[in-house]
Amino acid sequence: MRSTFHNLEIGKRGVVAQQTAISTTGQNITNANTPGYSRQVAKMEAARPIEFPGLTKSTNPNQLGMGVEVTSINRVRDFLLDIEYRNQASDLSTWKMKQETLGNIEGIINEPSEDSISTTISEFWNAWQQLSKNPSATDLSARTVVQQKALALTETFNHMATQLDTLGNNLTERVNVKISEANNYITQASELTQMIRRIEGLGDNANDLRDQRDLIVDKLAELGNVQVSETTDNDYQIVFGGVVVVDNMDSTPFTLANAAGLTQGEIRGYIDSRDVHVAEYTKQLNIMADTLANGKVKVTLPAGTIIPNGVIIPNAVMSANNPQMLDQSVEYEVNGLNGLHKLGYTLKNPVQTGGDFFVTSDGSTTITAANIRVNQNILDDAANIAASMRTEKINVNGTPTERVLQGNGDLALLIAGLAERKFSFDPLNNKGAITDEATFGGYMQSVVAQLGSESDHATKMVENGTLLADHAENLRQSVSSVSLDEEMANLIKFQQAYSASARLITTVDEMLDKLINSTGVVGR
Amino acid sequence: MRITQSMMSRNLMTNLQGNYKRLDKTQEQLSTNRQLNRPSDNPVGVASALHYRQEISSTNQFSENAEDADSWMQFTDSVINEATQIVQRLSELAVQGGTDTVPKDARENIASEVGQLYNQLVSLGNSQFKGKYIFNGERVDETPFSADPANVSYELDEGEVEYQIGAGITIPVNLSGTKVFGEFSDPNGLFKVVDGLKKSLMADNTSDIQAAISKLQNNLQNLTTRQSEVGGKQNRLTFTMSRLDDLSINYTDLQGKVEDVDMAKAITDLKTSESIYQASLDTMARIIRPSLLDFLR
Repeated sequence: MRSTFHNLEIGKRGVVAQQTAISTTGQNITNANTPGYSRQVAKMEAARPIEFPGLTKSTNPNQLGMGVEVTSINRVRDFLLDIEYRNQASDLSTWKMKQETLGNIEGIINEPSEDSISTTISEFWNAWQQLSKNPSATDLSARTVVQQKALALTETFNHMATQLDTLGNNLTERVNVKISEANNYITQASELTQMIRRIEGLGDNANDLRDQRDLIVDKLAELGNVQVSETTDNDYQIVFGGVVVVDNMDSTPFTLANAAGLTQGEIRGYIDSRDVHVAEYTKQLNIMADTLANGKVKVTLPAGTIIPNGVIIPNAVMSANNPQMLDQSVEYEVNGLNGLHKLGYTLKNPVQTGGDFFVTSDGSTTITAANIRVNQNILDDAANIAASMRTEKINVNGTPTERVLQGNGDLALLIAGLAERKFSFDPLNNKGAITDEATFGGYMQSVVAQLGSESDHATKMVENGTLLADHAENLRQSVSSVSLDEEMANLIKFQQAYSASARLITTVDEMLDKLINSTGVVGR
Repeated sequence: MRITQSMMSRNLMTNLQGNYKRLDKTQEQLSTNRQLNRPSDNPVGVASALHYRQEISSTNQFSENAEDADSWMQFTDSVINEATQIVQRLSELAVQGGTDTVPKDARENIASEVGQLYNQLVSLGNSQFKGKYIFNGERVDETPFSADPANVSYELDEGEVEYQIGAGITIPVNLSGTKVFGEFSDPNGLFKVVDGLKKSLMADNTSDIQAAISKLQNNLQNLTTRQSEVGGKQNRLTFTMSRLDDLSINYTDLQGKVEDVDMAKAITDLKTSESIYQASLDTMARIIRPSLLDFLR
C-alpha cells in the first residue's frame, strides 16, 4: 500500500527539480558572455524507485516511481579541445611576437627611404666622385662633402645599432614582465585548485571555479607551452615550459633559468626575437660596417702611382727612374676603405699618407655598427682626406723635398669605384654573412630581402595561426558556449514541467480534499 | 556543429578585422603613393628597388661628371681657339716683317706687337678653369709657365686628370701643355718660335723672319690637331651624356614599376575592400539581433 502523500512528494520533487533546472538555465543565460564560461546542465534522474511492499518480497514487476532528482550540475566541456586550442594559441603567440619584432626591425632598417644606409652609402660614393674632380686645395668644398657624407654614413650605422640595442633591451624587459605574469597565473591556479578540492571534497561540482582555472591555463598557454593533467582522484598538475609549476595545492615559480624548456608562446617569441632576429640584424650591420672599413677588396692601382714607403705590391712593375712609381697598372688587394686610404696622400706638406678613414669610438680593434666613427683628424681638417696617389721630389732651397700632386684624384676615383667592387664579407665563413663576396650595395640588398622575407613569413604564420586557433576555439565554443536560443527553449520546457508538477500537487490536493472533506459524511 | 551567439559575434569580429586590415593596406598604398612601404611588402621587389635607386644615384653622378668634363673641354677649346687666332696674327706679322722693303722702325713696331702677343700666349698657357691650371697636368695648383717661358726653363706635368663617366670608365679631361706649346728643349716650340721672331725682327734678320713663318704654320697645324682632339673627346662625352640620360630614365621607369602604386588597381582594390567592409557591417547588424527571445512575446 502506498503512502497517502506519495504523489504529493512526487509533485514536490518535480517542482524542486525543474526549479533547479531553471536556475541553471538562468546561470547559463547570464553568463553567456563570460570569458571561459562553459555552459552547465542540471542532470536529472528518475529517483530510485521503491518496491511495492508485500508480505514477502515481491515478484511483481510493478515498481513505484519516486519522482525526479537533480543528481548533479555539470559543465559541458571537452578536455581534448582544450589541449588543441592551447597548443594553437601558444604557437600563434610565438609568431605574433616575432612578427612584431621583425616589423620593428623593418622600421629601424628603414628601406627603401631617403635616410637609409643604402642611400647614405650611395651619396658617400658620389662624394668621392666629386672629390676626384676637385682634389686640390683650390676648392675644399668637395672634401667637406666627403667629410659630411662619411659622418652621415657612420651616424646612420650608429643610430641603427642603438635602436636595435634598445629593441633588444625592451625585449628582455618584456620577457621578465611575461614571466612574472605567468607566475601570477601559476599562483592563482594553485589557489583555485585548493578551493576546488575543498568544495569537491564535499561531493559537489566546483564548475565555476574549474572554468576560472581553465581560463587561467588558457592565458598561461599564450605565454608558453603548457600541459595539464588531472587524474580521476582529482590529482591536478600544470607543466609550464617543461617544469611542474602547479602540483595540486603547491606552486613553484617559473624562472628565466627554465626558459630553455619553452618551445612556444609569447616568452619564447620574445626570446627568439631578441636572440635570433635582433641579434641577426645587429650582426649583419656589424659585418657591413667592418667590411666597409676593413674588408678585403681588389682594386687596380693605375700606372704612375707612387707607392708609399714600406708598402710592397706583389707583381708590381716599377719604373726604371723611380723605384716607388708603378710603371704599369696592377691589381692589388687592400683591406677595405681604410687599407685603400692609406695608399694615398693627403693635402699636407711634407707629404703624408692617409690614415685610417674609419676608426672605433671605443678604442676596440673591431669595427662594429655601434662604434664606427670617421677618424677625428679627418673631421678636424678635411685636408687629411687622402685623394692623390702621386708625389714628386723637388728642391726647396737646396733640400730635396717630396710633395703631393694636388691635382691627382686617382685615390678618390678608386674609392668611389669601390661602389662597383666586390668586397669579401666573410673570408673565413664564420661570421655568418649572407654571402661571402658581394658589392656593398648588393650585400645590403640581400640583407633587406632576407628581412623582408622573414617578416613576410612571420605575417603569414600569424595569419595561418589565427585561422587554426580560431578554428580550435570555434570547436571548443561549439561544445561549451551558451546558445541563447537553446536556453530559451529549455526555459520554456522547464517552465512547462514546473507548471505540470505544480498541477500534480493541486490534483493530489483535490483528491485529498475529496477524501477528507467529502467522504464519510453519510447521514450528517 | 552547434553554433552559439558568442561564436557568431567572435567570428564576425575576426572577419571584420580581416576586411578592415585589407582596407588599411590599400589606403596606405594610396596615401603614400607607393606599393612598397617596407621590405615585407615585397621582399624581392625591395631588393630591385634598392638596386635601381643605387643605379639612378650613380648614373646621375656620372652625368654630372660628364657635364663637368664637357665644360672643362669647352674652356680648353676656347683657349686653343684664341691661341690659334694669335698664331694666325703672328704669321701675318711675320709675312709683313719679312718683306725686304720694310723700314727698321716699322719692324720695331711689329716686334713690339709680337711681344704683346707673346705675353698673351703666355697668359693663355697659364689659363685657369675653376682655379685650376689646365695645362700643367695634375700639378693644377702651380703656374705652368713663367713670364718668359722661351728663356726660363719649365717642366710640365704629364699627368692626366680623369673624370669617371661610367662604371669603370674614365675620360682624361686635360690636354697636355707640352703638346700644345711644346717642351722647353724643343726649338720649334711655340714660345721659342715667337720669341725668336721677335728677336729676328729687332735684329732685322729677314731670312730668320721668313724661316719663322713656316715654323708658325707648323704650330698652327699643331693647334688645329689639338683642337680636334678636344672636339673628339667632346663628341664622346655628348654620346655618353645622352646614353646616361637614357639609362637614368630607364632605371627611374623600372623603379617606378616596382615602388609606385598602380593607381587604377589600388583604387579598385580600395573600392572593393570598402564595399566588402560595408557588407560585413550590414550582415553583422542583421545577424546578431534575432534570437528566440525576439519571438517569445
